[in-house]
Amino acid sequence: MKGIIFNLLEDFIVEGWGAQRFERIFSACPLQTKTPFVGPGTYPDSDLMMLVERVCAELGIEKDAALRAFGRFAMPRLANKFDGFVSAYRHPKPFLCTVDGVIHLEVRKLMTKAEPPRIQFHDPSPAQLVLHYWSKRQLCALFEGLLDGTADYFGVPFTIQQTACMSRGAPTCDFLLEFSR
Amino acid sequence: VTEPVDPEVLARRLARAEERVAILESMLEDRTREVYLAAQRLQATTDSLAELFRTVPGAILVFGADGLLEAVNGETLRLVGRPEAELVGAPYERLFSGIPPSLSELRDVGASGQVFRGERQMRRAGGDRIPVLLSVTLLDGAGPSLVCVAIDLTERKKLEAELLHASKLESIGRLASGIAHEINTPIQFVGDSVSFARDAFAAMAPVIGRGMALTRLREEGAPLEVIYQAAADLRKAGLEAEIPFMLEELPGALDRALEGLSRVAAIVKATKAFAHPTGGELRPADLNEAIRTTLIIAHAEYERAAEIELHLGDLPPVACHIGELNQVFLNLLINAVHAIQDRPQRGRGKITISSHVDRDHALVAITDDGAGIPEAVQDHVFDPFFTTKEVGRGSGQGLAIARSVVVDRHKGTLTFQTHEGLGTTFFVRIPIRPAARTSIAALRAVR
Repeated sequence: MKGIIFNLLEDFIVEGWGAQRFERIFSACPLQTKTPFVGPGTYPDSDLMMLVERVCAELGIEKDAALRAFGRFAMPRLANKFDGFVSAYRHPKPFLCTVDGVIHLEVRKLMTKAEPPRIQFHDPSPAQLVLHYWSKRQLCALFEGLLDGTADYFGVPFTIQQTACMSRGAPTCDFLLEFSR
Repeated sequence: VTEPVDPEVLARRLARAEERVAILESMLEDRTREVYLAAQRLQATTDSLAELFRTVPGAILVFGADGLLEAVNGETLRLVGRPEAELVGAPYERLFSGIPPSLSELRDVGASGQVFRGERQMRRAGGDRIPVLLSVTLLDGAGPSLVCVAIDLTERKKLEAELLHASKLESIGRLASGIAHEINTPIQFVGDSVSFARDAFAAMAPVIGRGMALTRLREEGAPLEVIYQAAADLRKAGLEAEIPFMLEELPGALDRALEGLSRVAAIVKATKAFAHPTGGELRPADLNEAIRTTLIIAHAEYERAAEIELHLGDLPPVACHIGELNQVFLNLLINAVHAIQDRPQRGRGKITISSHVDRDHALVAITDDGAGIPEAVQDHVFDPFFTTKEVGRGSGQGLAIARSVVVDRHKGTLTFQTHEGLGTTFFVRIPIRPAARTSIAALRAVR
């Protein structure tokens, strides 16, 4: 997992619960990584999961809810950081269609060790979009939070319905998005 | 955030932030080094490609999406004889002649993932044109739109022309004894007829002399007995000279002499037409006349082997290199003769030559009832140096040259149908250019 995600997770906790709380959680995790996380670095997925689980235990929230809230927090920040990929669009639908073919492709080109999830799409009608998420990390709750954040960023609300999940044996986690405008 | 932050926590966070900066600096240094090395490699590749672009022995022309020339290499400058400053900005169509494919046609070709290839001409400073093999690739991107690679065919065309001419001269050499025979036969009866006329004149000269003497005696008022004696001498000389026989035979002898001279003149004219050097431009010509010319000069080659049946239809003038097509018809005719000679049955065969208009083409078909082409060799008959004939009878160049002339030089087709044991038909299709769609009469009027 890229260091930027760890940094955003730290920001998420610090902004929500304070630096003291974060330090407590952070120091209580026996992470593999002994150096500070930096954005371009690549770190073990297990470190992220350990942090997330510790956060959930510390704050008494469910893991999927925590991941979804973190995704919603992270998306506008990622969009501002890499606005070249986002600012060309005025609606979330065409932007979401570029995630796999443009954004993740560029990520893979720039960071050879990166393993972004595969996001394939199906466009059944103008007001709908079907997304198929696949990642060996199976973080579909984080992805759903990123979708929430996308709606926030564009100011265009849409409903999200998860119709399949890898954790229940499906080959991909599928999401049906319906746009009101 | 309401919870007060412990100074110790703040110190830990500060220390981690400093360490983070140090890591990022180290990463930045590594990345800078990588970028520097990559830039060096890129520069070396760019230099190498630029050198390749400059020195490659083919003209490279790069056009923008608007069809205007953006970049050229050294070979282009050498070929067209103009400085780069004069070329850059020139439209694609102005640099090539010979119906260049339009931009939209190229887009169609490019969309199908193909590369356009064809012979075209490049315009030189001063108006000369250079034959080139042009390849055009359509690029799909924001940069240049067209890349043209032109290979100078001047030397190849020169060699091809020399080969064609050498082949033609070789044919004339091969046919020389037959042509000599064709000329010798009429020359013999021209000689006989002229000898007869000379003898007739020698026999009639005394009669004419005596007749003139008699006339003079009468005019001078000579005595009657002298005039009677002169008349008796004239009658006697007339009987001795067989005057009635001479008067009956002499016109025929002179006609035969003239006919013989006319045949010799026709053979000489045909040989001259056949050996006519090839020019650079296509010129309207009568293909039927070319077939007749070929038959005249090849008469000795086929007269014992086959009878000729001609079905020559009405053809418009065809824009062509007629000297080269003469060679094609001769090669096909000689092949037909050989095919008849190769068949197991004895006796003369038949060669049928027909011509007619087939849509936009003039079609000439040459059919023999010879041995046919075995299936095993049918795919190779147009290959250079391929022959099934024994040494000395065929070089294996005849059909290869015919194909090159018809397909490469005239954009026509040369095909065949064959049935083993029954015979073969070769079909020569030459495009009739619209400008050439005038009548044969008009062509003759121009001459």
